[in-house]
Amino acid sequence: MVSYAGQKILVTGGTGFIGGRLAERLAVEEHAKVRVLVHDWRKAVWVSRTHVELVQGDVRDRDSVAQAIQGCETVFHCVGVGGTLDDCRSTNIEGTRNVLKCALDAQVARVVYLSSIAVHGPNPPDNADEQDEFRLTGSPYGDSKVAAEKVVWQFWQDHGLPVVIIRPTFVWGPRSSVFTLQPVRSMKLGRWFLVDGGRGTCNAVYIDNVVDALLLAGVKSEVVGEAFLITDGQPCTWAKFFGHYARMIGIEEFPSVRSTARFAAPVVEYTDALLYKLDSTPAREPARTLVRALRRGLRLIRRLPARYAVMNPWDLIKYARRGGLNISKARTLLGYTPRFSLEEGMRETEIWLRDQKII
Amino acid sequence: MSVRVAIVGCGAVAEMGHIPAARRVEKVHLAALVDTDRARAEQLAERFQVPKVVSSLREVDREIDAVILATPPHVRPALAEQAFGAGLHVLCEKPLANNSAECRIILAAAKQAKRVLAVAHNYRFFPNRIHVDSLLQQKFLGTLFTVDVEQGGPWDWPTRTGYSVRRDLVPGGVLLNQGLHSLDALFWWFGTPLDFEYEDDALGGLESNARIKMDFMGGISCNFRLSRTCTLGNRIVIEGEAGNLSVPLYDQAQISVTRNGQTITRNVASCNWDFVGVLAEQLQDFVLSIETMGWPRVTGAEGLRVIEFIEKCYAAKHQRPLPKRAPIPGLTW
Repeated sequence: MVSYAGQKILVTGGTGFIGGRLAERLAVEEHAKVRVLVHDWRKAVWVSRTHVELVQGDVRDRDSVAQAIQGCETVFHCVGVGGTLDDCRSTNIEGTRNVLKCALDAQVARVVYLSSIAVHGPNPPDNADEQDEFRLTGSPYGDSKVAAEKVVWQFWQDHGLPVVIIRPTFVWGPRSSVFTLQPVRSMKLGRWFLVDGGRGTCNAVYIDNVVDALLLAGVKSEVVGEAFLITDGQPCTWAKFFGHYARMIGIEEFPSVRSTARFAAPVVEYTDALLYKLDSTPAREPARTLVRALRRGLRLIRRLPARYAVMNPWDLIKYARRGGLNISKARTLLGYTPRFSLEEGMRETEIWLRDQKII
Repeated sequence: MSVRVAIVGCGAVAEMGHIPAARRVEKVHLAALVDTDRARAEQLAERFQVPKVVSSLREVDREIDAVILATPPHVRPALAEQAFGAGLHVLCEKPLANNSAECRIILAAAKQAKRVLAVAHNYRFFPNRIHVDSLLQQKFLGTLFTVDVEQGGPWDWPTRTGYSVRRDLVPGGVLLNQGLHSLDALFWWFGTPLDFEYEDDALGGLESNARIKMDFMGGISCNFRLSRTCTLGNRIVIEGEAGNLSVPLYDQAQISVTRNGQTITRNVASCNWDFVGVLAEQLQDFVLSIETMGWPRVTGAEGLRVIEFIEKCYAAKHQRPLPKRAPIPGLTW
């Protein structure tokens, strides 16, 4: 394998969870000259522990990206945000366009783009692989990742920009907000739910396994213009996965919701929207009494579905899904072998959670 | 007569602390704001009604008596020398400077100019810290055994320059930027440690988690855990033969005393100071030192003392080779 030693590398999203660990390992283990684009200095407390170069900038600001990319041979584009449609659009889609345009102008040797399983929707077919279709679901994050990947493919097809796409599933481990911190904190508060008893298939991926795949994607010669699904290669049930966290904090069981409860969320959302509109009480009768009665009625209607709408519909589908994902392309072409098993990753995660006083 | 003061550096600490504090102190006339980013200085001047804005200290040094240096530390030695050269008194933000050599330059300049040098270790102005000092002097806890310090929270200071995470601008992370306050309190109460062991999580950059074991005179052993990534207990607990004392780090008045198995928590001051109030008290002390030409509560020598110790910690760490594999984030080594 080609070494990263001495290579100048730009990591976008390097203050975040995945990009941060990648930057850390590139600097400490690979002895690369790493530059990290910093949007918010306060988030740089993790990556600043290594000897990386921090430059202020934002993927939404093309000039700052152009400046940061100067002299870099490889770019790992790991920025990705959730939240509102506008945030997802401006950062995930337009931000990606900016990074790729600057990479093209600067003639970088390779761009590794961190995509997501979200491009295939929450319920891809059993044993789906990279060929599975893109699915728009109405989720701002998922749909923006689909659009961003299309931008990446466009730069590869139209401009010959050497790109490699990594599509990890559900990334967990030290610093994972969605699949480690959030469940652990919710469990401690007694607010974590399994879906369908946790019988759905967990195809998650440990952080250092994803970083291994990213590192391979940056140097392997036969992988340009390819996309790779990345998991731990060891499917289990969500009950088993979350059971590890439960053991760490001494919980024996948690409540479960049915995946059919996804139909409850839109009802709650709709009644909430109506209640918001009926927020102010008119001064005059009979409008006053009518509005009050409507509010009371809506609150009654809302009560039943609200008991089931503890997760958003996307998560309900995701956690209920049964079936594997096929990572044989990553194994054969990329040379990816998941290094950390579920048990090993959980051991490291527990050490981190205890050290950081989260449990 | 009021002391005419200019604030140099218009970052977060000036905006949230020094400027509003200066407006609270009767004997201070805030005459000017100084910043190379003139637009920023003008914005703050308009908001706080400061009469003058300049880009360099030289433009205003004849119209003032003293400066508050609220800049990042790497530019402070040159600014302090310039200020003392112009015959001004200096209240310097913490850390006094990035290293002991630069601290000594500042101390020498103050001595030569015969002007006051005060250092903004503002926790020294908390009434509960002063109360602890007095209890310790009265041997309230008898023989002291251990001190346990936990200081930590996710870093959320609204910095403009990001200097405290940039190794091109500062030599240290959480210890130099935040841990310094607790170290200053420990050295004030117990003197400098006789021995220490230090570890942190830096991997060629700046530490965000650190652990120090210190042995002080009289057989007092101290454990200090520090973090800017996670929330810790944020308290100092001193244990002695007669009981223990606990002081919350970010509360100015509260103190808990445990004796004979009974804990009593009380406020040692009626005032409920905010951050600005603490900085106003510090500024008051600075003004008093100028008027009397006496020592401020935190002298330049005390600013140097902490930096010298932090330097020793970093030197001890640098003797160890970097790990070959990136450890679990946050773990110290």
